[in-house]
Amino acid sequence: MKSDHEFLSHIQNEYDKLYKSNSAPEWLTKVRARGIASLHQSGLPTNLDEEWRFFNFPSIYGNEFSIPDGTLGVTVTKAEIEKYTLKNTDAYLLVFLNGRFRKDLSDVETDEKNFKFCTLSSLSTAGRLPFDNLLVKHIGLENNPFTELNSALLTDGAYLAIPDDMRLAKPVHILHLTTGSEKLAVSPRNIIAIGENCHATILESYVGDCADYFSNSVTEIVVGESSIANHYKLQKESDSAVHVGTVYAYQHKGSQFTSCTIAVGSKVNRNNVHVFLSDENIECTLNGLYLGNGKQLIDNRTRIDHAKPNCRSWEVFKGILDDNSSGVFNGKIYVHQDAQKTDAKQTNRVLLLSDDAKINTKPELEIFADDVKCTHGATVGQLDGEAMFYLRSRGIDYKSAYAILTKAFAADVIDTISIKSLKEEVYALLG
Amino acid sequence: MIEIKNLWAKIEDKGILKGINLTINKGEVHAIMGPNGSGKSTLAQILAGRETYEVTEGSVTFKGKDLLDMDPEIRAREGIFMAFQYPVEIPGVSCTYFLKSALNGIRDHKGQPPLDAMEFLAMIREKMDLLGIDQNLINRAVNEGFSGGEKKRNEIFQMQVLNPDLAILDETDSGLDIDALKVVASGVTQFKNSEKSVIVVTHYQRLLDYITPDFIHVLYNGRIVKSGGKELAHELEDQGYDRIKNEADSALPVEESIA
Repeated sequence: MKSDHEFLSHIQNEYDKLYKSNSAPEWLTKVRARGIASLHQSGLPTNLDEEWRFFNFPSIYGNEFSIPDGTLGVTVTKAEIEKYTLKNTDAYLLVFLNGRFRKDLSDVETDEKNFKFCTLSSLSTAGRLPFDNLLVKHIGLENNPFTELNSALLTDGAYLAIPDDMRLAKPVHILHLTTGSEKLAVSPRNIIAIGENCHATILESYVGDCADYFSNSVTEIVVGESSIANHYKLQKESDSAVHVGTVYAYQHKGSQFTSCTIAVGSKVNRNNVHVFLSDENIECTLNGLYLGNGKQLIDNRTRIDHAKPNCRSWEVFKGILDDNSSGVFNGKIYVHQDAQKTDAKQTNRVLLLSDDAKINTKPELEIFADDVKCTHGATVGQLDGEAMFYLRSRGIDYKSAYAILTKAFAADVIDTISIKSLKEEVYALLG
Repeated sequence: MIEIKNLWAKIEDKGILKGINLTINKGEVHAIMGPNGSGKSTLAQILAGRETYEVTEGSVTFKGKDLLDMDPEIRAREGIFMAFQYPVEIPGVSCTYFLKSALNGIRDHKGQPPLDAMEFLAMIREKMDLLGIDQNLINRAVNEGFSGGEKKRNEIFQMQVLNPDLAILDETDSGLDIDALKVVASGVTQFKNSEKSVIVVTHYQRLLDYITPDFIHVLYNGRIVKSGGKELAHELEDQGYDRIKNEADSALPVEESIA
């Protein structure tokens, strides 16, 4: 087993090999250099770090993942992509294969004026970096070394700039697929800048069909003044993958942001979600659903910052854990001194379906304002035996009764999903 | 319809049923009465397949098949329905969805095709009208936030939709006002015919004013200590259970009669 230091020197070697002599655009070289420098400075986390107490580090540090140089000649057809796309739903589709954009697999013809997709790799060196003032910088309150790792190894990602007053007629689906026979480390990065008075729905999904790989994604979303944004993240990596995913959202005045992180796949999964409510009259709904079985570990860390007065946040994370799986929920709500009249509610509910499944749940409230309403609650329970008997006594078989009750448990989270086919897909995950 | 022979059951180490014998034929309504703790509800629950109780001896034959061998859902599909004394609240599951799943489970067992949404709605609408059940009620989550009367009425509504061969009403009258009681009773009266059997488990004679039983059995200390016609109810109403208790207690003590 290798240590975090050894893993970091492995990353440095890969970095030197691929990027040192590479003629990447200037901004990209800069982002990568900054990332690797920060990593050396902060180091990679270990279980000694409070925020990473329960994470399985050997699953990452114990492997010599290689960084894909190009898409590795992997052939994937549009038909093969279909199983990962939304059913019966018209969407703008951006497909990234092993971390790189594939226009041939995507569907990005836009009929809406002034709305253009772009990929990070296609950004020119000229001019000001369009996202220089977005990148984590604003909300770098939480030091997350995996974000730096993503920056250090950055190759490509979606860049979405939605101009003011635009209502997107279709959802945007950003699909990251990892495939091939190599042990890869991919670093998808998505940057979504939503202007003022916009309405947008974005789905990012992570899927894979190769053996061991490490997907370390970072998504940054800025929601402009008075805009409404729905964001869904579906993590359906392959069973032997490791997925560390970080979502940052920065909300401007009067905006509404609804997010749902759905974690199903991978053997080891860490979800970091950090939302910053930067101004007044903001609403934030931050939901999550994690489903574990086998020996899966799903480790959730969320943080909501209330920086200014009169904002509301609702957070509901629900976990359904079976077999020997384990879950972690650590949710922080940080109410800054200025944020009077904050109304924040956090809930973590977990259903343990087996005697060997376990959950560590820890709410954290840090409140520096004196006129706020903040509540948190955590419940851990098992499937209700009375309800099971009631359903079965009416002629519903055990398996169906089980599915009905687990679906009912997760319903309030799933029902916040506005894309109908996605909602159905998530319900179908429960049997 | 159903034949219960020398049925013994316990929960943990506590014996509850101590040799029940009861035969119910097609078209008959039997009432099972008795003081609190006599085992009435236990008997109903065991017939429905509740696993909390352990049957230690005896047999139950339902329509010629071994009932005790069946899972609760199979019993339901074979034609047993128990109206719960305490119907369970199931948040997040709508009555409609629940009932449709149940009905199609039963239909599948009988080799019938599932009803589609339209057929199902047409079918339940008719039953709803009969029981005066509000449309809003069936769109709500199963029993969630229902009043006591609504819950019991919902049980009878389910019985009518699922159309079992043997309906067991486990203290369906408890907690009902007289109007609700009448609705429940008329639901049962509509249901029963020469092909159906009903077991009414009750503490009080009240419900039997509206559902006339063919036979009444008095359960005490896990055994049927007295059986008779409908007039037995009035006798119990007048004299209470004390006389029957005394008679039974002075007869052979139950435990020793077995040893």
